[in-house]
Formats: sequence, structure tokens, C-alpha cells
Amino acid sequence: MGLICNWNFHGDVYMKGSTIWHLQRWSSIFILAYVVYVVSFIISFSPILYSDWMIFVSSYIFKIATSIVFISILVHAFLGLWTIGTDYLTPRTLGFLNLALSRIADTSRLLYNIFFTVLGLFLYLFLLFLIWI
Amino acid sequence: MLKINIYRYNPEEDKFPYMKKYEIEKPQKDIMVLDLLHLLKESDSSLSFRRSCREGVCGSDGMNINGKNGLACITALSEVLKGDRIDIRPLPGLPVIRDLVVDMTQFYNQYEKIKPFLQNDTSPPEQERLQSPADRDKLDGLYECILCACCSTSCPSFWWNPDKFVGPAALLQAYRFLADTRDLEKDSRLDDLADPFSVYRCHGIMNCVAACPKGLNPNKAIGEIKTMLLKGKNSKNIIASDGVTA
Repeated sequence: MGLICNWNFHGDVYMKGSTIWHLQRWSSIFILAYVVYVVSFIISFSPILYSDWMIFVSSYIFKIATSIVFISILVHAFLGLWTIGTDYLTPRTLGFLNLALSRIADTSRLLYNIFFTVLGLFLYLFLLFLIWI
Repeated sequence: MLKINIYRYNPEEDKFPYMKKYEIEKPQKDIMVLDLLHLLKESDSSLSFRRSCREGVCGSDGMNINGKNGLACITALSEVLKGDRIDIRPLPGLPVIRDLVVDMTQFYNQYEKIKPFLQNDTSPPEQERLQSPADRDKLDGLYECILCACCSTSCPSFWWNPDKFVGPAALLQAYRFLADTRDLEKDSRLDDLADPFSVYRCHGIMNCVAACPKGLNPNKAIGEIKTMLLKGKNSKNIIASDGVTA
């Protein structure tokens, strides 16, 4: 994993810029494909019945696609939030507001990164529980 | 009457910066913003600003004029006036030394980082390293930068991470050497820019293009660097040292 990316003490991601670029683009393509997949089902079966919907969401294709696409959503969201954190939760940026805030900026960013990582993992486990169990 | 608000800050006297109001008779003919500052300095000699060539070549009088970065010496009053009012501030994001004079160290540090000189360790020819006219054309729109910092200081990514994000001015120069067929260090130049901040912190909002007083396009150069980084070393879009596309 260290070959692909590293995390520093503040929870910041250190990957090659091009790796992040690829992850953001490919994850959005997966999300778009998934939206097209679900919307095309809804349109083709319209007006949709409860039984049709149950058959659709019970299929392995839907379950596997949803499980994979949710990882794409997590990756996409985390990289976006990480970008925001490294822009606005830094000693320099918070220092514009208040010097005391500047001193706790790195710790704030660490907590911010941990919060969204834990939240993402929790949501993913919840999703797996919903669709597989 | 012309109402002028100018950012004033003298660290030896002022606790905080403030906007000082001036009023002068509206000039009969259209003058440049730099001429206006000279008129004000006649009545208030404490007003500080940089200037040198007064014809848009040296890049020393970059400042924020009515919300837009530009060179005071080539910005006509008629272009920027909002009614009879004009607000002049120092270039945003850089530490203020005094009034409209900013500390450009962060900007020059980034410029130094990209090694803005030709790297070619082969023995030099008797006269000069030649290029074909087509190869020379690739440098147009790149070499003309005067390092006034109007672009970099209009870029939010540079405001937030001036130590990590190279900034549009230095990236324009980075591409100037990446596109130069005489330069032999393309791989190491790309390695130096491969991290998540140096180039990729540019989100393409094009403030740099809007601000450049020389009409250059740093955003396009940044796009070319990103393409080179995405395709990797020795890829087809990296111009080979002999001037032929590999």
C-alpha cells in the first residue's frame, strides 16, 4: 500500500498527483455508470411495481455493483474533503482568522480526516448490511 | 471629483492596515493608474508603491485595482473606474511590507523551485544550440512572462498553499522549459512536479488567465504539464531532446 499512497501524522494523503487525478475521474465514471444503470431500469419498468423493484435490488448484479460503486463514492468524497482540509484547515489559512486557531490547525485537520474516514467506513458497513443481510 | 481608496499600512506606525480616502479633481484626459498614484504621492509622500519601467515590461507595479490584479502602469483609469471610485490594494495573499509593497519571497521561492534555466550537459556548439522554427514556435506564449505575480496572487490555490502549490507564473515557466527541445532534464522536471500539490492543486478556475496583463495563458500550460504527468515519462507527448516528437 505504501507504494501507492502514504498517510502522514495529520492523516493527509500523499499519493502522486496523477494517481489522485485518475482516482477522481475513474470513481466519477463508475458513479455515472451506476446512475445510468439504475435510472435505465426505472425508466424501462415505469410505472415500476414493488415486486419489480424487489427483484432488481435482490439481484447479485445490483448488490455487487452497489458495493463497488459505494467504494468509488467514498474515494471520491474523501479526496474532495481532503482537498478542502488541506486548503482551509492549515496554520496559514486559520491564522488569517485567529493566531490561536493557527496553532491547532494540524490537529484539527487530523481530527477532520479521522472523522470522515470513520464516517465513510461506518456508512459502508451499514450499506453492506442493508443490501447483503 | 475622483474618490480613491488606498490600502495603507506602515508596520512601524499602524497596528492594523486601513483604507485611506483621497479625493482629487478628475483628470481631463485618460491617465494610467500609476500616473494617478504619482499625483497622490505629490500630496502624500508617505504613500509607498513599486514602479520602474512604467510601460508594462518590468512587472514591478502589480497591484489589485478595483478587485482585479493588474499592472498600474498599463491600466487606464477609464478601464477600471466604477463611477468615480477606485479602490487600490496590494497583490492579495502575499505579506505586506508597506502600503502597496508586498514581500515576493514566496513567489520567487516557487519560481526557483522549477529550475528556470536550460539544462543541457552536452558540449555546447561553437555558436549556439539551434532549433527549428517549428520548435521555437512552441515557446511562444510562454517566454513572455514578466513575473509580475498578478496571476499567482489571483489564484486561491496559491493563497492557501503558497509553499506547496507552485503557482501559475512558475508553472508557465516550468512548461516553457518542458517544451524546449534543447532541454534534456524533462524527466527530472516532471518528477519534481509529480506530488499532489505542485501542479495538481490547480483546479482550472482560470483567474490567472483573466489577470495576466500580458495576455498569456498559464492554465493551458498547466494542462499540458498535467497531460505529460498523466502519460508518464518517455511518453509520446514529451518532446524528445533532438527536437523530434518521440
